[in-house]
Amino acid sequence: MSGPLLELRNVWKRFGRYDVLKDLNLSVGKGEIVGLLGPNGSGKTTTLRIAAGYSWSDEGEVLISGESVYPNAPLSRSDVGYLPEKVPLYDPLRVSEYLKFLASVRGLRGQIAKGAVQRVLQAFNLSAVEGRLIGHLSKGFRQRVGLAQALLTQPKILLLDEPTNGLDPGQLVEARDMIRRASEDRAVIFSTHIMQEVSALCTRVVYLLDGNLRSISLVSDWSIGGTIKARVRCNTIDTLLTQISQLSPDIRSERIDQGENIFDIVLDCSSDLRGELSALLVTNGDLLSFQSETLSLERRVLKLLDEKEK
Amino acid sequence: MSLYQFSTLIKHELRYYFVTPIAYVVIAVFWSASGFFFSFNQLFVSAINMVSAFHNMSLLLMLMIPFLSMRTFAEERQNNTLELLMTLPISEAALVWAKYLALMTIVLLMLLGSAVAVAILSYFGDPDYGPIVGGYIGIFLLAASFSGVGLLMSSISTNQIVAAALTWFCLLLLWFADYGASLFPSSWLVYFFQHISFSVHYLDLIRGVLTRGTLIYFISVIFLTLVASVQILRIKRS
Repeated sequence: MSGPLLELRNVWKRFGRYDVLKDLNLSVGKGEIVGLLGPNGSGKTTTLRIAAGYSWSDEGEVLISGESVYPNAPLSRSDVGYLPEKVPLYDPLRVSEYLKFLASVRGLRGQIAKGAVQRVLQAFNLSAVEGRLIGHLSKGFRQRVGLAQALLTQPKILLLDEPTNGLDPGQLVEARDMIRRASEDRAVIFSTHIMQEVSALCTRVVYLLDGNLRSISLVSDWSIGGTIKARVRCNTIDTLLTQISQLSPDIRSERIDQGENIFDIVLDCSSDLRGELSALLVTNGDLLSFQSETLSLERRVLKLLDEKEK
Repeated sequence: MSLYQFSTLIKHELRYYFVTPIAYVVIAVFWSASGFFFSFNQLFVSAINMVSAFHNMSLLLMLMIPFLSMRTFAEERQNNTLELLMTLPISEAALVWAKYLALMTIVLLMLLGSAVAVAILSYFGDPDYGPIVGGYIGIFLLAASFSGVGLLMSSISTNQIVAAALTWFCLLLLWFADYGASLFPSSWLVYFFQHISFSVHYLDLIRGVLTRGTLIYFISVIFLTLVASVQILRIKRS
């Protein structure tokens, strides 16, 4: 199938007079991992809840494999694996009991259900704790059990709400591996505040702002600017800095060596100024080193917020 | 949704009652208290019937059922497992019915245990079994109505204690609703208050008299509370 596996089309959601989602559109295809970013209260959880079928939108529709979820919501939910922000677990049950229950209630029977439980137990390294009470598990194991239940029926779509919240660095790496493996043949959306996670995992990033989504490029791209660091030997630094500031006002310089007039120059620019700057530096002194990097994801998000403020 | 998925939900509910102490405690307290009151009546009142036992049982059920029903939805909501259940391929109605049937299984167990009293009566005397069977059917209907109210209150609460308190409040309100009739003498409200009151209908029940009106009343309470619970779950989705 070539179309998107999950599509949110013109979705509106209101809480009282407040529009949380305004005409939101999002489509995710097979093999994609979409990172859903946004400030607290921006509607990330609401978006995932609507996609998972827990919450209903006020307007718009949710399509799974091209078919509208409503009114056959319970039927379509078989295709969706969902891990809410607060992992939904029954503490007095054992890990295997919990997974068996969810396999059965999702319609898997007998050997197929047992096989599905064994598969996720192994995939998430839970075999050693399958007989343990969920209430006695550590946070990392609880998160794994949550992920395991979401993948029990090998759903086409996986929705994860802050899946790595509160995990230690080791558990974080494990969780990322699990999500990456899970995404191979399905569509994944996950919400997070952690930029490194987005960079490490996602094929696409969207930022939820004012109830709608803005795409953020994951590819390093000079079209939105970056930072240039240069070391230069120059006797007329004031003249040089004046000329550079005409290119971009966001400039910092520091003298490194008093005797030889060596300076470090850092320039933040909103477009690709590498050519102009290197020409100025070569003309006005000896260029000792020249490094450039595009904006980090954090800076790109901040830039998006700055644009919104303006 | 298949019958297999539905029965899985019921089994899960039942298992959950017994992996926590709540069902054991409630059943034990009910059996002990109803046994005590039955023995007391036999020893000191010497009535060879179950009317007073049913009367005590109905009050005990009013006290105990909220402890069982409070967890049905309020605990799921507290633990966030309701969010999981409602994203599974099952309908709200199936969820409500599964929880209700599991709750009624526990209630049935409580009533079956109390039937030891009937065995004792049979051993020492010759009771009239008709009113006893009728009384048990009646007390089961009363408990089924209490459970419906409990489930509804749990569906609107996020806290189990609040759910239990609301259930007691509603049950007491419905129990003493006929008192409201005296506030509005010579009005259609007299008829209304008398007919929504548990206590008016239950008096016939514990004597083993099942009239059509009483039957319709209790089945209506059960049906309305379950339909309302389904609607509450749907409203909370949107």
